[in-house]
Amino acid sequence: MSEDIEKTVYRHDDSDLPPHISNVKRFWLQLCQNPLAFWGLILLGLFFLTAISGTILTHGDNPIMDPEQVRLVDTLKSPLSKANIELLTPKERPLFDIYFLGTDKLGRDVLSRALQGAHVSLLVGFISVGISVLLGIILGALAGYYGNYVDSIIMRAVDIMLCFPSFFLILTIIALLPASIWNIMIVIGLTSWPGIARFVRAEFLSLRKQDFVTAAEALGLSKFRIMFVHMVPNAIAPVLVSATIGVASAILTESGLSFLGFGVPPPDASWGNILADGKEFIFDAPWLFIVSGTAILVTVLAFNLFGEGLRDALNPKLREL
Amino acid sequence: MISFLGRNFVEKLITLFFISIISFSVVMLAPGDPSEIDPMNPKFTKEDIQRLREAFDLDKPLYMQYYLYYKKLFTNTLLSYKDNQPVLSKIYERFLNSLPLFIVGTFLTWCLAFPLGIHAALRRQSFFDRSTTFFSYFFISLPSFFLAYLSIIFMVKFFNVPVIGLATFGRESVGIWYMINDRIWHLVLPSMLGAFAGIAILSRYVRGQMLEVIEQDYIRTAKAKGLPDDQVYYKHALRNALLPFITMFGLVIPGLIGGSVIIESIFAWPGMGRLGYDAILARDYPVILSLNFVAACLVLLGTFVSDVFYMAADPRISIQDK
Repeated sequence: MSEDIEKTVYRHDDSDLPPHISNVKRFWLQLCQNPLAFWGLILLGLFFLTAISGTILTHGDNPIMDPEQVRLVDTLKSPLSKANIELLTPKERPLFDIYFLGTDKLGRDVLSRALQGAHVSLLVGFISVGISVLLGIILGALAGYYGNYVDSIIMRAVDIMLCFPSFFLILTIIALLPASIWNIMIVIGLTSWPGIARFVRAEFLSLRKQDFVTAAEALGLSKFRIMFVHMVPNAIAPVLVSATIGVASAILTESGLSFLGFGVPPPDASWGNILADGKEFIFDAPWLFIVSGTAILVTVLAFNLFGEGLRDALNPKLREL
Repeated sequence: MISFLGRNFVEKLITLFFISIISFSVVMLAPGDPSEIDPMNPKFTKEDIQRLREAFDLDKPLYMQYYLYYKKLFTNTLLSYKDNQPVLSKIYERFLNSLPLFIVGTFLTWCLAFPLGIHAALRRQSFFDRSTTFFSYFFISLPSFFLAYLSIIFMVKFFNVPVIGLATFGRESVGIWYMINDRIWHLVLPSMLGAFAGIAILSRYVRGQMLEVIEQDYIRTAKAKGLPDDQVYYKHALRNALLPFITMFGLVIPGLIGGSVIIESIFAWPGMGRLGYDAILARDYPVILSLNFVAACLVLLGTFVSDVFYMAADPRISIQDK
């Protein structure tokens, strides 16, 4: 009898089963099926390359391309124009003596500023989303796991946060604090966690009743370990999606703040403040406006499209493979 | 039902209390003191500073400031630092200016987002669906001020119409017809720009909601009964797909202030967002504080109203409540 069961259980005949596909591969196939998400991913790859090369090229004491170099003889030059070699000292000359994307009102090279801006935008996006994801996961997990009054308190806090007009609240806090790029990241992060906390809580409410959690509790694991080692990985899918889209909206928020004059303070360049500076010269030097605006549009679009593809690829309901 | 409403109302009141504390502390705990606005001015003596601090209750402990602030706000005697006008009247005046922008924008959003989203859901993976998906993301990803500048240049160059401000200055006596026309031209661009992102986001939600509903069993039953497609989709499916949007109505209200700061600054529209921005620049604490508070109150009111509507529309809620 027991041999029979063993035979049934350990039957190694999977000829009528579909071939095994690993989760990563299935995820990849799902993503490739969605052309918008696929192109989003490619654009994201390009953006990361730009940001990394931008960091290498524009940072350090003696950078290859200096985004802060002011050249008053070469203000508002159009893209691809040659530098005024006779009047510039060797240190002031741009790379290859050409302004590939023109210069701004102080003669700073727009290409090198845009490269530095890519790095800054990436930093703002990732750190602020990192803060909100961390807060969202911790609070959502506590609310979903403990339930009862912990849940009510945290959900009330979420309700309260959702009542404030978020952009105006961010603007208020940023305007009252001293200008610094770190304040912007922290404030955006601190105001955008409620959505993530809600997702994590919803996942936790259903995970809470599953057998593996009961098993972990029966093994006497600490609550901290059950929550953050066993349950969080199972609740991470919606968080990843909203984090991706969160990076996009953080970049947009930063550009909006820059536009109103409360963004990344000079001399650091961000796409937002290149765009905000460019608006004064929209007729004389449209490239300032176009370059930074397009850069923001393409990057944010890439994050959004990839986030949407991620949502489809991680959604078990849509799995057909 | 009454108990549900009552409980909901009490919950909202408690939330309101915490909102009042947060909006108060955000401004008051910021570094610096409003009386130090011009410390280098030699005519600004210590006695003057003391007088100002007393006039605006800044010399009292924080909890007294909190109490006096809300007492004055509700009796409309809270004065702006900038021009000594009652804050609540100021906000109300600007609110009336923002209202047409908000109404036209919301109207455009809801009228366009629903047909677009439903159409895209019913023709899933078609060219129409893919292009609306792409353009929704395109408009969500565009910085609103970038689009605003481009469209101002476009409108002025091709249509030669005035777009900045509430109405053309100095043309008040040219006749009612011209004035209406003028107001409408000024309203078109800012409300459209405000609506673009809204249409994009809302149509995505509508599409997702509709897709979920048409997968349900009762839709298959309706189809199996041989009902015509139109009746299945627009009578049976649509009703249920629209339910969650009742709750969204309360959440569009923050857009009245938050979403309009940038658009109102660009178009010099004297609305609430612009008032908030000017107040921030001038460090006019009572106005900043009251705007945050009023906005949160409006949202709470909106969610309360939509809860009531939701209960009227969805019988499952009141059954659960028993």
